[in-house]
Amino acid sequence: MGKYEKLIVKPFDWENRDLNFHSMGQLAELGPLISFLNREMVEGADLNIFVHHIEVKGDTGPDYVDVHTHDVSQAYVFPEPGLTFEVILGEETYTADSPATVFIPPGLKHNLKILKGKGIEVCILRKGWYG
Amino acid sequence: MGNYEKYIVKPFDWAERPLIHHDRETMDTLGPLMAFLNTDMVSEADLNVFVHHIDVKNPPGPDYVGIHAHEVSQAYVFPLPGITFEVTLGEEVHRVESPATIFIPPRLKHTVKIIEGSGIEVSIVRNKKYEESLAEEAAEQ
Repeated sequence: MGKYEKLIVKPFDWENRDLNFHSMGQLAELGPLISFLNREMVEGADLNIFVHHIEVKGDTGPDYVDVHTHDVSQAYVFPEPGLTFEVILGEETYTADSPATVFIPPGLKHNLKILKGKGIEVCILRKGWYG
Repeated sequence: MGNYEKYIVKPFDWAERPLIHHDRETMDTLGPLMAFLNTDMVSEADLNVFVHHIDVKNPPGPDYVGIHAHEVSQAYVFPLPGITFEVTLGEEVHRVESPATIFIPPRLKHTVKIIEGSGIEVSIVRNKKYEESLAEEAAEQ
């Protein structure tokens, strides 16, 4: 094993572990939340990355996350077409179609709801642990 | 338009724009490089995000990026199965299958080469602009 092999990590299903502000039961109705990077996976990592595999089976997706803020910036990246989502930023609500990015500055209240479709969301937080 | 609509942005094809250390023409033979976040898209952004759509038609894929380093950390995220790639970290070369993440600490020399398969790679640099994150002289850790 080389000195840097520790920097290469395989993702894992977050399953029923706690996640601040989120109802994991309702989140998992959409599909698995996969952890791709945090400071427990790579010591010293200053990014936290989740990939949520999403498929909305009903008329609309569930509410699974409360309005909240972070002390660092965050980005929701929807890399491929196929999803429609609603995002709350401060007191404003927007509906958008993927592909798209939502940048959330530190301290801005936000929330996310998936309305329809199928695809992935990459959630990037600019520190090593979600919270 | 509300105060915060500016934070929701649509990606665009980086097309023939230059990207330092990268041979863009060769890179594009794998598929388009899409800019998803930078300070030109959102002025306050302190993350730089690209998504490379990849389809290797004649394995192995080409060499398209020289060894380089950044002053800030970076992550390559391969979110879906289907891609085999080779990553150089310092003097070490590792072959990896997606899904996987590579975390690159500041100033660690690195490069990536796609060997085979199809899918996407998400590159995240913990800085405003890709070019401004580069280290002039890479250091081993």
